Amino acid sequence: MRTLCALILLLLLLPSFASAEEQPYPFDDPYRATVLGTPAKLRYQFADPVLPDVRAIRIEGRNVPEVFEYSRDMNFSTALQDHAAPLIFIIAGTGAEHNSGKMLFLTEVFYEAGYHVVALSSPTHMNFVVSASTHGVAGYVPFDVDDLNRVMGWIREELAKECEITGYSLAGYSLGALHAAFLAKRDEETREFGFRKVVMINPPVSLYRSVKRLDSWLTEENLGRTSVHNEIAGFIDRFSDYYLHAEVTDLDDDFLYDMITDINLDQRDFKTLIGAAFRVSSASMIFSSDVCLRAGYLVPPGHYPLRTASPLLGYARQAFDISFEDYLNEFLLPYLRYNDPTATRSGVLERSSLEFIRDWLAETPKVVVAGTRDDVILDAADVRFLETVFGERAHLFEHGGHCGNMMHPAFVRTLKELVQQ
Amino acid sequence: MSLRVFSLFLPAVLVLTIMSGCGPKVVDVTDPQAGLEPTGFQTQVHHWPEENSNSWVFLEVDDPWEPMNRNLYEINATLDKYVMLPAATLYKVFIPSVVRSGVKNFIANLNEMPVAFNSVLQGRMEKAAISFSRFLINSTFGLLGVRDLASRNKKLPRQSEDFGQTLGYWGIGSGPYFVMPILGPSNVRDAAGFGGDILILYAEMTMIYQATGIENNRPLDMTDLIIRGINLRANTAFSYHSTGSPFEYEMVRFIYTKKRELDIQR
Repeated sequence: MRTLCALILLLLLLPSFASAEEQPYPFDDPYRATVLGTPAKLRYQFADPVLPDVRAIRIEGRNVPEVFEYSRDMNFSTALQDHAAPLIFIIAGTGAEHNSGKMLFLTEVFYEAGYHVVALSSPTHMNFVVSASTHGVAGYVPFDVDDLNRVMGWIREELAKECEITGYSLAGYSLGALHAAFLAKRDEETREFGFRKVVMINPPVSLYRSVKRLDSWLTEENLGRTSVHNEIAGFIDRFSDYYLHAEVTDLDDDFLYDMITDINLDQRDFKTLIGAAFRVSSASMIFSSDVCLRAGYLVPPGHYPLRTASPLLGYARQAFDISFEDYLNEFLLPYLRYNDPTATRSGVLERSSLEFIRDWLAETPKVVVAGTRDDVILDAADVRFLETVFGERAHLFEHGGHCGNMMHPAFVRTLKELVQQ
Repeated sequence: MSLRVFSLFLPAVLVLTIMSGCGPKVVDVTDPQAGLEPTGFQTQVHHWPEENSNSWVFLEVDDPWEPMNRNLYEINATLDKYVMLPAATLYKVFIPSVVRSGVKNFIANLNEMPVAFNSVLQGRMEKAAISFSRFLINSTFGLLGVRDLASRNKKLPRQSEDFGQTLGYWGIGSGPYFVMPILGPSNVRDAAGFGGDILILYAEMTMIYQATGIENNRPLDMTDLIIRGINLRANTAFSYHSTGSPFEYEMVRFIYTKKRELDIQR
């Protein structure tokens, strides 16, 4: 009888189980996935959402140009447990800030997993370049890693006064994942933090190769005869037209999502959008570096000093048209050679690739990867690299593009498992 | 909570906010290596701005007062960081979300009248009827507007019309871009329109005070203003310098101008 009751109960419960069953990640096209991410309805729901605090570090006496006065302090966010706990630093991807959508989400994930969380902007984000970078130049991984390490040291010192920290871990997505790997390698030698877990989310293998891919989508190869300027003007017309005829009152994320799904963008459009978004970040980074260094790249020496009141549209136009290849050849390499005449192009590129620390990664169990097999910033050889080097420690999902499935419950579960004690 | 308690309570929150010196907690550190001292490095290749460049022409907006506007933008950003945003955050932390959505709906309901009035001025009777029906439904069944029942009817979505749009509808150009103190992006036409909407609201509030027999309405007006301010900030997703771009002013200017242009056509 008991068994029968249990069986009936089970049958009664089944339909509700079935409806609560998790839906798989919806997008097979990696470019669509990269742009649209995880639809709000399918996202992982946090039991007890936390509101992170925004804090800042100010380097005394730093010569911040007046035009960037608002960016004098390096901002970061924290979500601290009210009991003793390990602390995890998370590092944002290219051009992203400590409290961008993805970073807020990751902050919640690791907070829910029981960590004190410190979220840091990418060293390629304007605020980091202006307020914290030693050289004022971003995109060279060894410099970026030194800067991150220094900043993390200050933050640790400050937070140790407020909460009990039982150990340190590290995570990052996209370029931030690459930074995390190099930080962990560096820490292996200095033993400053003694990181226990290092989670790389959708890392590039080689910064240079990945960025070249993004850049290629704004060239003839993807666009054919039309220019990227015309393409973007075209997008603005299509978006405007949609808005004119849509029944909306609020321009929120839902609206943007509906719009992008409704106006039937094809793969070429998605590639263009990803490439253009990357360009907007890199333009910000390049202009910020140029002004901090007064290197005369975008701003002629006669235009200085730039003030709060100075119009900047002319520089923005120029900056958007600079590919990473150009930046590398015209700004970054010359700067590195100016600092160290023995610097070579191949040496610089090598030091910005996981291949450089391949042997160490292969034999270090604490470093793990969570990513996707169809990540748009990776080529087939890169995916093979991750699989061979990390073996069982590479947790690759079939679909999701670049960080598109990050908010999907299956991905979140993987992340939490990877950092569980 | 009675209005009188509210009127005592909210200015107190505001004063506390200002006194507690809000904004992010800043830690000072020293690092002689990171002083950003001049290096003398110069690139050999340049991408200097070109005169009369015709790329990105659509980003250009009539902005003859740009230097003043940019300064105002920064002043607004600073005020927002230390006053409005902290006040909105405190409001979100201490006031339960049921109360906050009640306040939001109550204010939105009062704002239906200017929308209806502007729709009439543009001869858009259907829009006017929708706004007016919403006002009637929410003021009665929605408990003086605290609940937004009208939005449950798919045929009665909230409309958005203001005096700036009315002026635009009748062919008045936008005039130069103008960053309003505290309120931010605007242009000459929309700033004038904002004044118009304030007058309509003032007339509406005066009628409400008369109807309810309130004689001394000055404290209530102040409270109304402060609650409106906090409510507006708490329900606006934008925050200054969150684009991570040194060209934020240009982006905001373009998006504001484009959106207003489309809103007038809608």
